[in-house]
Amino acid sequence: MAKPSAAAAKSDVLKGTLDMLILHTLTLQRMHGYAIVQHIQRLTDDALKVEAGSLYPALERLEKKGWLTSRWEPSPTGRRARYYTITASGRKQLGEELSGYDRAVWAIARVLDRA
Amino acid sequence: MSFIDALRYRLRVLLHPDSYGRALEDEVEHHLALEAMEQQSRTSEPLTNHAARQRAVRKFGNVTYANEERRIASGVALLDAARQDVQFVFRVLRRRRVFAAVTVATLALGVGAATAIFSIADIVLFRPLAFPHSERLITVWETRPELKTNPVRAGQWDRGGISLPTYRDWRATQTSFDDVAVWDFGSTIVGGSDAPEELQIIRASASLLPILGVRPELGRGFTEEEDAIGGAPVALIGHEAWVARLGRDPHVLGRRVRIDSISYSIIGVLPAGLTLDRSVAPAAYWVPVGANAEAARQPGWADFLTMARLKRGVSLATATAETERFIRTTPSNGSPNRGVRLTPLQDEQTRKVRQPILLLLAAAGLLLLIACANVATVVLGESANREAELRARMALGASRWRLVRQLLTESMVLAVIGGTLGAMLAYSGTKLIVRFAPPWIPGLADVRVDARVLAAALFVSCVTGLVFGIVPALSLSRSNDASGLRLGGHSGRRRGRSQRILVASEVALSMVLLVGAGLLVQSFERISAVDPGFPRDQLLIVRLRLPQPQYADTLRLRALYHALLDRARELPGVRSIAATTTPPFSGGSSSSSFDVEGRSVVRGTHGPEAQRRITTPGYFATAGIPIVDGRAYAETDRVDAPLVIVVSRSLAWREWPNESAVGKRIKWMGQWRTVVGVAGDVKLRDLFEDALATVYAPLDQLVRGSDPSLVIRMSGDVASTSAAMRAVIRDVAPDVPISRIDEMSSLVAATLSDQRFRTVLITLFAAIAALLAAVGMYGVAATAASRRTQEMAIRAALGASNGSIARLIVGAGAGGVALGALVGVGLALIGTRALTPYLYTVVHTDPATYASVLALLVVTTLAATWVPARRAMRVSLVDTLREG
Repeated sequence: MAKPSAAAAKSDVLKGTLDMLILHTLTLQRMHGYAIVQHIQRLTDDALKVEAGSLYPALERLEKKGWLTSRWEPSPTGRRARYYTITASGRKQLGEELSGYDRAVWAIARVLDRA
Repeated sequence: MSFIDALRYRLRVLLHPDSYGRALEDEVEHHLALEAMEQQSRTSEPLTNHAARQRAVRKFGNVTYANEERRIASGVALLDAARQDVQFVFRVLRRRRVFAAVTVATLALGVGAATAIFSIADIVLFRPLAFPHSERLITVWETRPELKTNPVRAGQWDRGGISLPTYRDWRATQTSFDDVAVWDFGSTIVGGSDAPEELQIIRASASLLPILGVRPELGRGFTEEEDAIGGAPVALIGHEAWVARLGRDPHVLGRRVRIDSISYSIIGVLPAGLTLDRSVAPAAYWVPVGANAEAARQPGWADFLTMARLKRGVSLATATAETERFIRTTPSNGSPNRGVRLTPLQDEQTRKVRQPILLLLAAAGLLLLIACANVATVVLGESANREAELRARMALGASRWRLVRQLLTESMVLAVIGGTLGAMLAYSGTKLIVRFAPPWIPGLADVRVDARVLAAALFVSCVTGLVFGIVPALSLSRSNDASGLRLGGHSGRRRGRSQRILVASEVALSMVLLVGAGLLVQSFERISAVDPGFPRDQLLIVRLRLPQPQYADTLRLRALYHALLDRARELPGVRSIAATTTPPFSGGSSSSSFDVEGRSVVRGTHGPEAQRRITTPGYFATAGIPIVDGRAYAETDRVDAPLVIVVSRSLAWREWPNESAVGKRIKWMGQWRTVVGVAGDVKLRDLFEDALATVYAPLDQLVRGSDPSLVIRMSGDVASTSAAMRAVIRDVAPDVPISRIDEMSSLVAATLSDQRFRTVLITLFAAIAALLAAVGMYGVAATAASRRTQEMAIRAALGASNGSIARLIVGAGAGGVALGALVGVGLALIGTRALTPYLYTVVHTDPATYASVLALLVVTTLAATWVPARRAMRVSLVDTLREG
C-alpha cells in the first residue's frame, strides 16, 4: 500500500521499528509499559527514548492484532499494573519483522558501501 | 486475540466505557509513579513527591493525547463516536417528541401493513406446495362449451371431470406425463349405527400417492388391483384422524372402519397435513376409487378430478395438445366438442385468491409509499428548524462529515425504531387478519411473520432512513455560506417546494385508497341490505345425513321426518318447524328440467330448467316465504292424492306471463303435476344472484335429491334449541348423524365474508393513509409558518387581519393539496377499475363517492393547517424581531 506523503512513510517506518523493539523486549519476559521504556533506554544508554505517548498506543495496537496479551496484576508498588506478554503469533511476527529489518539494513549498507 | 475475543472486548468497552477509561488512567498512574520514583533516585538533592511527579508528567508527554491515540488505536474511538451520536440523537428526539413520535408512528404503520400483507401473500400465493417438484403437478379439466349457456352450471363449463373408463384409456395411451391419477372428495357417514359421524373422505386411484411423491408413514398405499370396481375394501387413514379418533393406536393396521355401511380394513396411515386442496382440512380416510361398487352404479358418479405429473422436458402446450386429441377421440364418451384445460396445481389452488391478495398488496404498497413520503415531509420540516443550529456547529469547527453522519444516525435510529414497531404491528396484524379472513383462502393456518419478511421490513425502514436522512444532510453540504443562518434563505424556499410536492403525492395516493374504500363500503352496505326473500333471523338449519341403504326406502324416510317434526313441534323453543332439501345459503343447488303442458318440445333438447326443492307443507310458513297466488300444499296432499307443486314467482312469470299459474300443469320428475300456488322468489345461494326459478314439491309425494334439512323458526336462543334438537334426533333416529347446525343469519353473512374482509382491510388502509396525509399537511403548514414568522409579524403590525394571515398559511399548503387532489382523482378513476368485479351496483366512477372524498380532503386540510395558522396569527412582532 503506497503512502502519499514522506511524513506518513516515515511514521510507518518508525511504527514498524517501535513494534519490533517492543516485541523483542517482551521475548525476554513479561513486563509492564514503564519497564519496557526503561529496558530500551538502558540498553541504548538513553540514546533511544521511547515516548510514552507513542508506546501505549503501540501496545494497544499490538494487543489488538493479537501479538500481545495483557493482564492486570498487583505490582511491587502496591497498585495494580498491566503486564504484557508476547504470544506465539507475536513471536512469528517478530521473526518476520527481524528478517525484514535485516534485509533492509543489508540493502542500505550495500548502497552506502557503493557510495 | 481471536475474532470472538476482539468482539467481546469491543462489546465490553461499549457497555462499560468507564472501566476502559479507568484502566487507561490506572496504567498511566502506575507509569508516572514509577517514573517519579526514578526521578527521585536520580537527583542528588531530595525531591518532593510533588516535584518528582511533575517531572514524571513532563517526561511522559501529553497524557491526554496519548490516551486519545490509544483509544483510536484500539478502535474504541469509533465506538465512542457512535455511542455519542446515538446519545445525542436521543437527546434531540426527546426535545422534539412530536416529530419523533410522528415519524416513528408513520413508519411503523407503513412497514407494519406492508409486512403483514406480504407475509400472507407469501404463504398463500407464492409458497410452493408441500410436494416434491410441485411445479410439475398438473390438474386436467375437461371443458364443455355447451354448458356456457346453462344458467346453473355455466360456471362449471371448464371444470369438468372425467369418468373411470376414460381415465383408464387415458392412462394407457398418454405419453406426456409420468403418470396420471383421478380422485374425488366428499363427506360421508363414518362409523356404525352408534355414534355415526360425517367426515371428509377422499377416493383416489392407486397412482395418486406416487404422483404426489407421498408415502404413508405407516403401512402401504393402494395397489393397482385395488383400483378395480368392487376391489378389496381397504382404506388409508389420515394422520389427524388417527390421532383424534384412534388415539394414535400403534396397532392401527388391520383395524376396520365402517364407511358408508361398508367395512374397510385400514392398511396405512398418511402423513400429517396431507391435503390436496389447501383450503380444506386433511381428509379423515382415503379409499380406492372403485371401493363402493354400489355407489359406482349411480348415474351421477362419473366426475373425477385429475392429478398428473408432467414429464420432465415436456411443455404444458404439448401435453395440452395430446390430451385434447385424446378427449375428442376416445371411444369411451369422446366428443369433438370437448376440450381440455391444463393448469398447474399451484395456480389452481390460488386461482380464487390471487386477485384479492394482489389487490391488498397494491393497497399496502401504496400505504408504504405514503408513509415514506410523509416521513420525508416531516423531516424536511424539522430540518428547517435545525438549520441554524447546524450551521452554528459547523462554524464552531464540526466537520461536515461528522454532522452528516449524525443526521444519518438520527434518521437511522428513527427508522429502526419505526421498523421494529412495524414488525410488532405486523405480527399481531397478521394474526388478526388470519382470524377474520374468509376460510377458503388456502394455507392460512401456516401464515406467520417469518424472518425473511421481517428482514425485508427492517431493510425497507433502514433504506427509508438513509434516503430521507440524506435530504437535510445534502442541503447542509450544498450551500456553505452564512446566508443559511438567516431564516428564510434560499434553501428554505427549495425545501418548501419539495415538501409541497411530497404532500401533493401523498394526497393523490391516499385519494386512491379513500375512493376505493368508499366504493367498497357502499357496495357492501348495498349487498347486505338485499332481501333474500324471507326473514333470516331466528331461523335454524339442521342438516342431516341419512345413512344408506336404510333410508333409500321412501316410506322409511317419510316416517322419519314425520316423527322428527311431530316431536320437535312440542319443544318450547320451536315456533314452527319444517323440512326442505337444499336449504338456502347452504352452498347446494339442485335443478331439473320440466315440460309445460300445451307447449311442444323440440326433439333432442331439454325443456326449461328450474331449481328443485322437496319440502314439507309447513316450509313456506316456517321460512316466511310468502304465497302470492293460490295456496301452499298441505298435509292432505299425500302420496295418493293428485300431484301438486308450488312454483316461484319468476318461474310463473317466465312461463305464464299474462295469466295466473295456478291450475297449470307441467311434467316434472317424470309425472304431470298441477300448480296449486305461487311463492315469492328466494335467493338460493348468495345475495348477488338473481332469484332462480324454483319448483317446490311435497315430501309426501316425491322423494328426490339431497337429504332434507330441518328448518326451525326459533322463539328461544340458539344454544338451547340446538341442544333440544340434538336430543330429539338422537331419540327418534340414533343412526342418523347431524351434519351441522347453523343459524340462517350466519349462513347469509358467510356468503359475504369475502366482501367484508376486503372492505374492512381497504378501509383500514385508507384511514391510515388519510391520517398520514393529514400529518404531512400539518408538517408543510408548520414549516411554512415557522419560516415566515417574521413576515407574518410585520404584516400583522402593518394592519393585516387575522383572517388574511391565516389564509396565507393555509394557502401555502393549499396549492400542493389541490394539485394532489386533481392527480388523485385521475389516479383513482384508473385504479379503481380493478375493483369492478367486487362492486355491487356501484360504478367505479360513482360521483357521490368522489365528492365525499374531496369534501373529506377539504375538511382534513383545514383541520391540519389550523394549528400552525393559529400560531402564525398569534405571533407578536416584537418577539420575532428579537429572535431574528
